[in-house]
Amino acid sequence: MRSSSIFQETTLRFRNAASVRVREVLIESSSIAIALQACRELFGALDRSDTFQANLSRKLWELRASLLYTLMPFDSVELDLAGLLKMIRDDALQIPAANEAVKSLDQGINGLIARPSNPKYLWLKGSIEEANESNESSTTGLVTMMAMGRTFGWPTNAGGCVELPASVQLIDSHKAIASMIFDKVIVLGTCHYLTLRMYSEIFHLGRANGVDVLLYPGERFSLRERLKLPDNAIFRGKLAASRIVHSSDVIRNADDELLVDIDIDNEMKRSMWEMAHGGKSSAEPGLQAARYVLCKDGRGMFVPENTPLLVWAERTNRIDSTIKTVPVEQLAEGNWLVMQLGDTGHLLDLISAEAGFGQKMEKVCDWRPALDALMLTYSTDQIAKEMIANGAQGMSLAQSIRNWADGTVYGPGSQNELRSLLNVLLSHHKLPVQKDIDQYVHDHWIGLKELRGIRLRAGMTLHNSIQPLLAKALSHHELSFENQIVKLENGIQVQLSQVAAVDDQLSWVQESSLLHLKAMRGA
Amino acid sequence: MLVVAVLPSRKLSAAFAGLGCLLAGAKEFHGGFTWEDLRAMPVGSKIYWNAPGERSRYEGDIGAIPAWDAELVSVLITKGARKDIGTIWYFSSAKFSECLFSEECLPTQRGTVAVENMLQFHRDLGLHTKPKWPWTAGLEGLIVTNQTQFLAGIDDLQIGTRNSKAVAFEDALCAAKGNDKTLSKLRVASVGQIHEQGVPLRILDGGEAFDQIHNIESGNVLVLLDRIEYTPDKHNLILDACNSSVTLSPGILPALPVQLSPGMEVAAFILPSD
Repeated sequence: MRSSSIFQETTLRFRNAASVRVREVLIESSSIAIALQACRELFGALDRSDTFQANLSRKLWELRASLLYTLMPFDSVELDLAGLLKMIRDDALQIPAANEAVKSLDQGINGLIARPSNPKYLWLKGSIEEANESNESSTTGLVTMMAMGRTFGWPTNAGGCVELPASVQLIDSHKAIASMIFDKVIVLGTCHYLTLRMYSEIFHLGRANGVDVLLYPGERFSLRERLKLPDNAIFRGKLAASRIVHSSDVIRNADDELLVDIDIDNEMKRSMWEMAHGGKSSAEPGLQAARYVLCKDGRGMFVPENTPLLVWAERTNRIDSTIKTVPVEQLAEGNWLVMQLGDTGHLLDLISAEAGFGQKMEKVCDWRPALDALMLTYSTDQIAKEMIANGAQGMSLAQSIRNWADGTVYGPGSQNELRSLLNVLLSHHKLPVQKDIDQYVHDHWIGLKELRGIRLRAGMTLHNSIQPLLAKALSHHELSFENQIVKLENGIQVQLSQVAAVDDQLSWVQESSLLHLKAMRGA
Repeated sequence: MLVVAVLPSRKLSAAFAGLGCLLAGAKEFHGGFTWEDLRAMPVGSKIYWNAPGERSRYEGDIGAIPAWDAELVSVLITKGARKDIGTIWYFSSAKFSECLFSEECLPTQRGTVAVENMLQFHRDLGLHTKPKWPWTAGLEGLIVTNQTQFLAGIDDLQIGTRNSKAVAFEDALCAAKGNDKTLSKLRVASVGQIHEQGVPLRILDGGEAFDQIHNIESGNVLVLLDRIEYTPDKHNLILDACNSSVTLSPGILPALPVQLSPGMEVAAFILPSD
């Protein structure tokens, strides 16, 4: 890591973001091209509405991702291309329409195993040696977590067969890229599977001065556009337009142009998401828009757009770590989600009681017994109608009245609604006659606001108390991606799940599916 | 006026925007809390002061002007040295000028040192900030942000001019935190807090703070977002602002530098009050 001040680091990020050099590097390899083309053909031959073929598609995607993103020799035991091929072949041979494509795949993969040297690794090694020879002291990052939060075809231990110089930093999570500024970042293949956050960190947020994207024939890279502020007369001529200087040594022939239109990885990505969560791709009545978050433990959940989630922002010293709120669309690979298990109502009651919540509630909601009494002889629909005649608004007033009566909700959400409720109760002689109705409504409204304030502050106190307790609980605890449940000193249980990927497209789902973490389909 | 800045990184941007807001406020300051202001305060109003050479900070309620001397102002002491609480003091114009009066609660001793450091920083910059400015009630700016991250960001940072002794960045801002009602010219508040209206400038730092924009009725707003926080919903809102904006002449902000930092994207709009 560069030893630099926060000022130097920020200046560098602004400079990088103003002009980042992106270079597409074509890694020529006819044997890889044949294998990738065979993957594409077989994928096209599968009917993914059928569960068996959907599972086969998933295996095929794993094989393709292994080919695209590995730096290991193709005959490596850890990569186990032969094993993957066998699984796919055994399944695919049961599908007559896929027979031809399977044969091509068989030839392609066996061809690679017979000539195992990895072209992307050779390029990387050559590039680093060249930099070393020219005595350039530069920091290079290598993005390894490329495939929906997974690292395919990468040695599982430090002593794996890929040797990289110490100057190369592996970027295997959002934390790894967000903690450094790089002279160059090397991306091992198509960026279709990266989260928006990770993609933005690499290309838009000034983390790197240059990005090299290594592409095999048939593999595609496209720059994702970002939104920009509208042009403004005041600042015209004072702003230097940010730009991405995009160069490519990929020369596409006519056949290749055809492949651009197809972009198999884009198609595969959509299929993988559809198979993982099963949300609808367009709006339907009664469905809610949400984004699917996939965790590394194979579970996932739908989260409504813009919903902030709690993320454990880990620092080197665990005690200094914090909990941040991050909107769902800004989650990135490797983020630790903090989710509370069970109800915290009892703890909230305890904290609220210290602020006199109980007494205040009794005073402010003294109209509740009157409402209960009225509900003995009038339906909530009738009361709602009378309230509307008294100036209240709202489609689900009858349900709100039930909630106020049973205490699920403290009371009306607006002063106008409270006024109409109290007026109805007064008109039925359920409340004592008031000399100054305006003052009466005002006092109750202020009281309700205070009541809500106490509860809100209690919630914040509880939230703030989780952070140090969690930091303490995790200080001697090694985090791994499996589902983690941590019991805190105050009795609260929190669950930590590591984000693998976030669907970049919205899905439409039933409300009951929202924020419900469960195993992804076919996991 | 609404100004929106989209940046590669928001690190320290709110702190520097707050600092700029303070410097501008200090330059524009011409008033101060006067003897006439004290005399004009309604009976029962809260008033705060420090007496020279005393460690106690005082708080009291303004009383009626005494019948036996219309040139005095009476104050019932409610906080201060224990022996004085409950007694009534009568202030003359001469005594007023010896003390430091404010309509807001005065800072602690540490806070007073911080104010001195801030004034020193202004002097180092060549500014002639009136000593009364930091002691006069009224915020220059409000930063709505994640307080913990904001304070952690400026912790251990110092700021100064060449050939001068740097001061703690925190002192240069002298910002009150959260609901702390101590006199200050800059306040740092969390997104969840209810904020007072009528602040000359609100700095909305980050995507969550941006949502506060719907609760702001008047005044100037500076929105700071990093590039990933500039999402389609925010973009649509900015386009609406752009469509409703009064036409701006490039000369409206004459103090703008010739060239802004590379990587910075900014737009400004003047929105009609309705």
